[in-house]
Amino acid sequence: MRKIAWMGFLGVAGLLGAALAAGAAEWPEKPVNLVVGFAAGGETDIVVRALNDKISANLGGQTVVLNKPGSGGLLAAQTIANSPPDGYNLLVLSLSHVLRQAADEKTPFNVLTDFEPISRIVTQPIVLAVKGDSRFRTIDELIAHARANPNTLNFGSPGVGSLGHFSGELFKSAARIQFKHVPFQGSAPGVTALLGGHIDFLVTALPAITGKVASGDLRVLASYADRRLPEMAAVPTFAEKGYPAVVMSGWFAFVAPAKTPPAVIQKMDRAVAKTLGDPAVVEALGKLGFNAAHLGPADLKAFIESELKRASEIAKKENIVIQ
Amino acid sequence: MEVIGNLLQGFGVALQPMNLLFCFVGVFVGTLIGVLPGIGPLGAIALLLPSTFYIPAESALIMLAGIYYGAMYGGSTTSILVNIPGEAASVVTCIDGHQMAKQGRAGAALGIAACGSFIGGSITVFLLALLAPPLARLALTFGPPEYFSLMVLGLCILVYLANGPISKALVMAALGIVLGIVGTDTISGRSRFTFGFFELDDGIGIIPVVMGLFGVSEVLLNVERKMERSIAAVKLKGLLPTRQDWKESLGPIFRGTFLGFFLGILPGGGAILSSFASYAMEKKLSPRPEAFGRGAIAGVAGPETANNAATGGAFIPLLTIGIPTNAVMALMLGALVIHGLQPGPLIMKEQPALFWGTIASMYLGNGMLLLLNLPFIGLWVQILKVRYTLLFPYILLFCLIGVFGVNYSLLDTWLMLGFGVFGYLLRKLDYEMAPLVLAMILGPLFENALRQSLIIFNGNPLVFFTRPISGAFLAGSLLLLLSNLLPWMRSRKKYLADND
Repeated sequence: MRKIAWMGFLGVAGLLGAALAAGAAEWPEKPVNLVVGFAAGGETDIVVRALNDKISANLGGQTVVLNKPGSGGLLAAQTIANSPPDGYNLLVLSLSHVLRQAADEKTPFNVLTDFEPISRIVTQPIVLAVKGDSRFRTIDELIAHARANPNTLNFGSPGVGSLGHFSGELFKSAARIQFKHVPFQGSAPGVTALLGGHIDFLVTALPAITGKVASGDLRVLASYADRRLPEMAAVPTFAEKGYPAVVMSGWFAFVAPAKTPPAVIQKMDRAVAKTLGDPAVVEALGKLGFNAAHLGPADLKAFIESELKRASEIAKKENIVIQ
Repeated sequence: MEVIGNLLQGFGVALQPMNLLFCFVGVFVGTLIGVLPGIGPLGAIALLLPSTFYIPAESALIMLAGIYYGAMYGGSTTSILVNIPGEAASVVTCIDGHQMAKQGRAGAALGIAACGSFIGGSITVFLLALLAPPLARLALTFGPPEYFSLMVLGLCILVYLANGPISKALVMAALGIVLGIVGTDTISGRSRFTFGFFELDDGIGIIPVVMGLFGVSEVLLNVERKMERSIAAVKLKGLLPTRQDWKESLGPIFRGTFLGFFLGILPGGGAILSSFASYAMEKKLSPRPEAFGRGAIAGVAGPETANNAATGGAFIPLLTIGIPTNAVMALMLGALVIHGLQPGPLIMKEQPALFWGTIASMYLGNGMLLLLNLPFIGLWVQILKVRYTLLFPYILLFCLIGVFGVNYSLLDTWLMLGFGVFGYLLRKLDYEMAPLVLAMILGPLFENALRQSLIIFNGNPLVFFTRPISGAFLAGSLLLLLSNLLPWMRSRKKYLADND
């Protein structure tokens, strides 16, 4: 236990050290912190840890996963936004940061201006699920019912402003139907409520319910992916059901503080790209419910811009506000 | 019998030398952190979680589970001997346990706590094996209305816990609810009472509050006292409770086992609530309720059994539907997911070694704990006998490391110190802190469940009464309140009669 405590201290000391010693000759001269805004064992943490060793090897320098949980990942983002741009503290940015900015005008950072995009790492399918014995066998039945009986169905999400909430509202406005939103505190209570039949459907990231879908306790009616999910070939996408705008997926990406030297960004991106090209890595990520989906710095920048634009539109239209 | 076959398979896994070793490490660390005030199972598991990346999943779970229930044993030691709860679930043990110690009956209190924990823990393991699948289905029938009514019941129990003036308890409970409100409102997404500090979006952590109120304030209080050694003396031969003790404790132990087990299954229930609930129940059922607070052995036996049983119950939702019911279970979930395992209905079928191995290890672990805590109680007492001038700085240090280790948050550290000073003032003014802590946990659950219910049922409040489980909880709450009023009504009647 003492050893672990020391490791914690060293991590913090490393952070301070990195802050002091700006201006490196050949990056990286010392360990690079990959800062995760969630606790060890969370899904962001798991993905980054699964990649960490390979990234270290491909980079030719040590990378260290550092957990800085708090305020749904905001604390870490704010910290990195204010860190020196020396390449030693990188943030794992996710769609939830973008959604937060879209719903909260007082977000203490700006995903477009405070960060230098490096690489997108993975995407994560989002799905609409019902209980295994639900009366709705297809998404068409659910839509028909909601249209005939406005504001009777209960839609559960992992919280206000969450990925599930935005995705559910996106579906609602595209299909021009009405249903009630019941927010839960995280995905686990929402899944429990769905399993118990207390809500009608849930919109969430697929990994949160993979086990229950496999066992038949839950059924996926539709996915938000742009094409059918390979692991669920029978499940239609919203796009093919006639809602081309209802496409969304969760994602994680590495970003650096703004003004980080391009050489650092390029070198890190090459190491990440090489890691994600490894079939063993792709398979490991697949087991965790994630798709390796690399984007380079320029593509990632455009991608984040379009994600923020769309999220802001949904937030405005459906009045999703966090304050 | 399928259960027996499954358990035998589990023992096959748990008895592997490697897993036995991890089980022992777990219960040993658990007892240690349980004995040491300030640092609780959550902090310890958080600190040890990264080290489990490198061992097999079942060994990891066996060790982490050991820490959790081991802490429940160790926590009672400090509560009884020094009147500091070693961890939050042992708060209630202080009340009668320390009184017993003052009366020279520390041995009996420690003995009954360990025996009760063992009996509760062992029965729970079998209940877990037998009931896991059907109980998971029962827990699923609890929707927001049921949770709402359960929280009403929980808040009514607060009234029961009140020692001394009820007005003081109400003030503390109200304060707890207010503290629980701080942070992002689940239903609307608005921040409340954060005053612009977005570090408070997640709310005020229960860990810094408990550590501050119970750990730091105790140190502060003791520093100003002229210290005669208040660690109650323990004679080893006095460890075995007398026949009379057993007679008074058997009922509480068995009731505590089932109460704790059941409350442990429910999200938000767990060890802390079950120990409080057991205490309240025993106080009400006792033929001599006035003895509670003055060293009633039933007030030690019941809660100590219940908090152990609750740790077993808490595994049911995690291992059967993959839902953690408290922060410790959330860390266990994390440990499983790190190993690429998705807890859920399939885990029993696909990972029988993990599921039944962990359950069997809990049985072995409880045996180890009985040995660790009875013959070797002297060893743990030695830790407490270290001079206060040395011990208190260390307790503070452990509190600081522990509270920082959970979230790596300096804010939590400051909060703990702040609540330490606040707790010191409360103790000086004779306010009880337990209702504050409990209300802080129950308040947000109560509010969320109420508002979720009203959204789902279109604002119709009748649903709380018409759904059978929810209605039963509300009826129970009403009965509790009425039974509390009865003595008052009787005295009132007598008063009226006398003055006729």
